[in-house]
Amino acid sequence: MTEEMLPDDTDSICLPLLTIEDEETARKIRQTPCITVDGCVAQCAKKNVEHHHGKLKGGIKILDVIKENPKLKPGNVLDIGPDGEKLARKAAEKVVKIVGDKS
Amino acid sequence: MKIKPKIGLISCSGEGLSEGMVSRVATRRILEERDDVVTICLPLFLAGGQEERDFAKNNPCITVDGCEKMCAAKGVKMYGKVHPKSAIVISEITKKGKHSKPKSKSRIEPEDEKLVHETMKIINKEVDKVKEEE
Repeated sequence: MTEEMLPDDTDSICLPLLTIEDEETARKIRQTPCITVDGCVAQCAKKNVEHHHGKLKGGIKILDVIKENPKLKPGNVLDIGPDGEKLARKAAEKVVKIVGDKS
Repeated sequence: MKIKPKIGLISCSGEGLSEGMVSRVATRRILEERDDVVTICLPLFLAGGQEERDFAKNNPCITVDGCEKMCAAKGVKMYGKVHPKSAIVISEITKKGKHSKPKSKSRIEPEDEKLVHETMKIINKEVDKVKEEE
């Protein structure tokens, strides 16, 4: 997403910086529209951004992307495999859509 | 009989920098190789419940951070109220000049494998050291 699809419009921040209450990062997410991408039901990215009152523009859940594409079976944590790569691209496309949403 | 706690390996999730990718992959590989280590996703310290916050109190921790901001080490101190037993930093390893900084934030390229292996060697050594001390 940030390296290939929208490198000029998006950037990623390290989520743990919010976890350790890094003031500079907290300020950044309050000033910049944020999109969270969560891997599991704990939704750490969303919760960390909400905790710091970040400007949450939207969020996606990878579990939803997996459910929507039942034929694609991701590999494992270390190697997501070709299907995992396709799922990652589908997730990135969802993020692109949110980035383009003017509302 | 006293059951020794497993060693906690906490990696920074470092989405914003390429060294974070190395810390995640090296930590994950060690977790798959050894049965005396456990992990927790670092952002759960804030987003999770008391059980997650107590992780560092219940398990002697080794942190594997991507950069000098050392979020994992700080997270252990902040939420666990304990110091990590050992704090590894990927950027400190690359500063020594033997390995270059990885280019990608989203994948490990073949040329990054040596850095991952070096990190794994250090983690293994530290786990053995902490086990001896416990």
